[in-house]
Amino acid sequence: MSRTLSIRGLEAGIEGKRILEGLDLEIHSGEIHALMGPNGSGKSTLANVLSGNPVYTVTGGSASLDGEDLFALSATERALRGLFLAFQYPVEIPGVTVGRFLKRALELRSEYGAKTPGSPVPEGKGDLGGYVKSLRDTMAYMEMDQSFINRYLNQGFSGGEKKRMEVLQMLMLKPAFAIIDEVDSGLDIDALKVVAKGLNRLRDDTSRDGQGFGALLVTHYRRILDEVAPDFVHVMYKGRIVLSGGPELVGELEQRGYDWVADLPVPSVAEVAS
Amino acid sequence: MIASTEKIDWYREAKDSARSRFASSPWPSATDEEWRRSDVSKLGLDAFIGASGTASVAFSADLSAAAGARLGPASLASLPALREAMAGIGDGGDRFAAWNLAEGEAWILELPAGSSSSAPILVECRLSGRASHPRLSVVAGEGAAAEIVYRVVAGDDIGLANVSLDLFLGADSSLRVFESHESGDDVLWFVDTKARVARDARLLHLVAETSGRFVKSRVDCALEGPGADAVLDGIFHASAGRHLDLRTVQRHLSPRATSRSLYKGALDSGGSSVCQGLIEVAKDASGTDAFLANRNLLLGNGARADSIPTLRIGNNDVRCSHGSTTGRLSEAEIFYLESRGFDRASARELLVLGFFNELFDAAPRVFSDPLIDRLSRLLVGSSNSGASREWAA
Amino acid sequence: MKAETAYAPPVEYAQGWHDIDTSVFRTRRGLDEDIVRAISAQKNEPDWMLQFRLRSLSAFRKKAMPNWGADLSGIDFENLFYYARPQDESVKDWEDVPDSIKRTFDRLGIPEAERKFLAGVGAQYDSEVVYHSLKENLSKQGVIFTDPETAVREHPDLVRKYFGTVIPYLDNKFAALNSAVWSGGSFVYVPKGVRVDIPLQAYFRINSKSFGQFERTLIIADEGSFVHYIEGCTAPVYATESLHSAVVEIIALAGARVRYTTIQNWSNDVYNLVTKRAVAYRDAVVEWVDGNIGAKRTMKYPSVWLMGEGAHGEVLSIAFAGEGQEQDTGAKIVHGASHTSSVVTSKSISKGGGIASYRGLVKVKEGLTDVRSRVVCDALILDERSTSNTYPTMEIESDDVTIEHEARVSRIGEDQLFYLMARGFTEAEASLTIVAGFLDPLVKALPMEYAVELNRLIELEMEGTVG
Repeated sequence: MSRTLSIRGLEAGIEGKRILEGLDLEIHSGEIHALMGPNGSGKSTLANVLSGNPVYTVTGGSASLDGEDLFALSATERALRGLFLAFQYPVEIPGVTVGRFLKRALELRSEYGAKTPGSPVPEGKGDLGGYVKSLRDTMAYMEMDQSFINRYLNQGFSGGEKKRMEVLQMLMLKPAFAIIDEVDSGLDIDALKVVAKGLNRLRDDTSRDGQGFGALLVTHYRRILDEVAPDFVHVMYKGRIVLSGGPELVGELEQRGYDWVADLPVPSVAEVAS
Repeated sequence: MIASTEKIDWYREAKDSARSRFASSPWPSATDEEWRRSDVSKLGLDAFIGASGTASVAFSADLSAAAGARLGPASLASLPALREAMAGIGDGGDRFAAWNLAEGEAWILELPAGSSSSAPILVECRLSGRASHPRLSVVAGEGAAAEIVYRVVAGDDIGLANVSLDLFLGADSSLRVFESHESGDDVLWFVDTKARVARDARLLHLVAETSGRFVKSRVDCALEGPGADAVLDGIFHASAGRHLDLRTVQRHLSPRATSRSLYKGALDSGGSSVCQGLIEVAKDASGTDAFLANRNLLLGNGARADSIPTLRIGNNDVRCSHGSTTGRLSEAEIFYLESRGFDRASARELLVLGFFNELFDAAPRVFSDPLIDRLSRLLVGSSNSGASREWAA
Repeated sequence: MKAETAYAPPVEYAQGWHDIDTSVFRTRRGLDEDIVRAISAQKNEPDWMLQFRLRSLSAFRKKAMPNWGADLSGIDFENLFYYARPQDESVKDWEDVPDSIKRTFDRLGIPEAERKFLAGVGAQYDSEVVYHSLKENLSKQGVIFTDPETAVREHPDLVRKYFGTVIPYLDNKFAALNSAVWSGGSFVYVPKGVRVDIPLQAYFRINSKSFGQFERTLIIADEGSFVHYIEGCTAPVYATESLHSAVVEIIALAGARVRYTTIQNWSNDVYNLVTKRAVAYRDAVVEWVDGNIGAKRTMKYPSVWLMGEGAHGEVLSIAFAGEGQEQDTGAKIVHGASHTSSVVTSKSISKGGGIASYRGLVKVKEGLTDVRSRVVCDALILDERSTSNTYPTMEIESDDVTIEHEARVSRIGEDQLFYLMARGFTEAEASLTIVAGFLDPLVKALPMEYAVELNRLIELEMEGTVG
């Protein structure tokens, strides 16, 4: 069954300043959406608000995951129901190794899955040997040295290593929807290709009950979109989505820059979803 | 070989004089700087005078398992280090030290010169009765090397445990000692650890305090020979109603010695802790490199953490520093884990174990695994089956 | 009883001279109720202040000497003079100051300072303010800058409201002593919203044998005001010990900011025991800049009690302990409200057998949120005869806090010395440069004349140090 992440008229901000001014968007399983826009348009705010970062406040509108009110769920609950936010600047957690963190995350998912029948959460626990093998294989696929398993999570990682770690987590935790904030910031071409490799594998993996992987790639530049072809492209400006279209929009934006976007009228959700 | 000292004359004399010293001295008072924050006057200590109790010490069999290791019988009368230690208590030491010497039975683990063992030596000391005063002396001969896991486990009736541990490291020896005190929530623990480190010898001492109602613990390490090195680490958890007063002393008596101390603790609401640390550098201890740190993690409002790191430096050719930080878990870190599906309690558990991780790393699994399990239970209330490091690469 | 002997200072002390004693009134040696009454009568004080002094005397007698800190065994309380008054009344014009006293101030450079448009100078000569002038614009703004005796007479409401509220006479033995025999000092009141742009300054001198200095300073900064007060002192050399036991109280009301700077350079026979404490209310800021170069024994721990939300306290402390000296200094910060922060920076140097000790407390009361504190203590020990101690204490009773403390003790790095010497510095010059660099972050916080004087003092202290 296809899943839907739906956002309607979302208004949100931080420290009394409103950043999202009524945003509409709908993502279904199997769809890769790209979200582009100039700096300050609110792209990162959207990503953070959807994952439940308490620093931001929702002041209007709604968002739902399969019809369930997203904002009524805690960050933990959103994650357990299959939402994943890949951070632009992942926090460092000294003392907690990558291996221990991932194992525990999978266990919690599995416990949740056992408690919540019908929940779209894959079997995570399995046997220990299976976990280790799966982790090693995934690390190899993401071209990360095996020693990262025992390194403290994100501590001392370069920008590229941090991004690969976020993608690695997605490959291990298999979320239904991922929101990837500034997916390509700070990456050189090689790191970017590896990140794209991971995203494409997620896209191709239909092991989550036959559903595809849905994603919102938040990006300023087109480079990643050369490697991971989006199904839909949206342009944000001053807290709203002002233009939506197919992949050809990327080329147009590159030619014309972001300035022309300022004068566009805001399309409705119906128009976007078609 | 672990041997009993009951039959030695000079030892018996030391015990007699300790008994009279105990009888004639008062409990430490709150006007004494070292006891100021841990007032013992309300603990009902008098009720334990004359209370009976025993300590039985057992060690893992097969100490000579590894190739080259050889632990032979000790000639007790000729153990100068032990005798010196007994004599030392005659002069200084508080009422608890005298009490331990008077009432306790001394056990000695002797590691002959040059010996080494591939596996950790497990020493388990079981306390039974009402009040018990175990005393263990570890004497490492020149060049000896060993890893010792020392568990002191109190039986159900124990109300007071007065523990003494002496560590004598001969030149070039290396001891790694992992000590834990395990009991119910109502026990009073008084712990006195003394170490003397000779030329070029190395000591690692890690103590874990997660039991009891009241713990007063002191680790006093004298770096007596040039090139001596000591690491004094501690892990503690002060749950509600528990008070921990932990003190380390790094005494630099000779040149070019190095020492490091790191005590990390987590406190729940209603828990309280005091970490006192002293680095003392004598006039001739040039080339000293010493560091002391205390890190306190507050897990709830209503915890009280006192931190008193002290430096007394009498020589200028030194590098000495200390640090202390007290704070909470980072909300950013908690949110990151929540966004990965962790509930708040599991996130806190992972982060607190992460906080202690650098200290576990040095310990053998036989020490750290049960400790991690115990901490998980204290933090979340249920055993974390994923806590062990089985999966590690 | 100490015999008075000729005293040859080990280091030439530029200001180690004294004038002919022109005291016109001096109590006998020792301290009792009659002496306290005589002091109060000399000042024409109202009865409420006399009663305050008498209660304080009683407290002084009852309290024990501190059993920690610097060695104070050399103080002979019965052998000190507790009060001397040099002339008949305060003057407002330079012309009216007695000649011998003028000569004193000439040599101290005060006329120059006056020419530099300082706001006002309350100069102290043996416990009385003899020269006092207030610039017109300050008077117009309603700023009161006078001696405490005048304040008692002319502003009794303000004095009764705040005097002894920050440091009660029961606080410690030396606060009790000061409260009994205080004389001279400064009283500052800055009205709401007033910014005093020029630092208010005062000089003190001890100029009588075996004399105690007990000045009392009270600074009240009303809401939203700003004032910077500078206290600097010098003293001549004497054979018998001199005792300086001052009390400084600061009240910073909501939104006020007060900075109090001291460069203490008493000669090496003085016991300098000072209680300095500030209370900072909502959004107020108090900064103590404390330099201790001289004196035989110093015990001084500038404190800030952060009692209102948003308050911030800072202590910058420099201590130099040379031969025969013990500098026992530090800071005390008490966080009594949420959303407060504090920073303590302490730098000390010990040489020639001197002992420098940092003693500090950071206390966070329970039930508070968003409290941050950072303490950094750096110590240099210049030779193997000298000692450095660090005795900090953190008492934390709330959890929404970030408390950090760091201390480092070392000597001058060989590699740094070598680098400079390889650039042509002698070892002595290299040492001095490195020490100056060590102190620089604090010296930058001082007004220029003080920075210059401090650097000159450090140079003097460093002379004769090689290796």
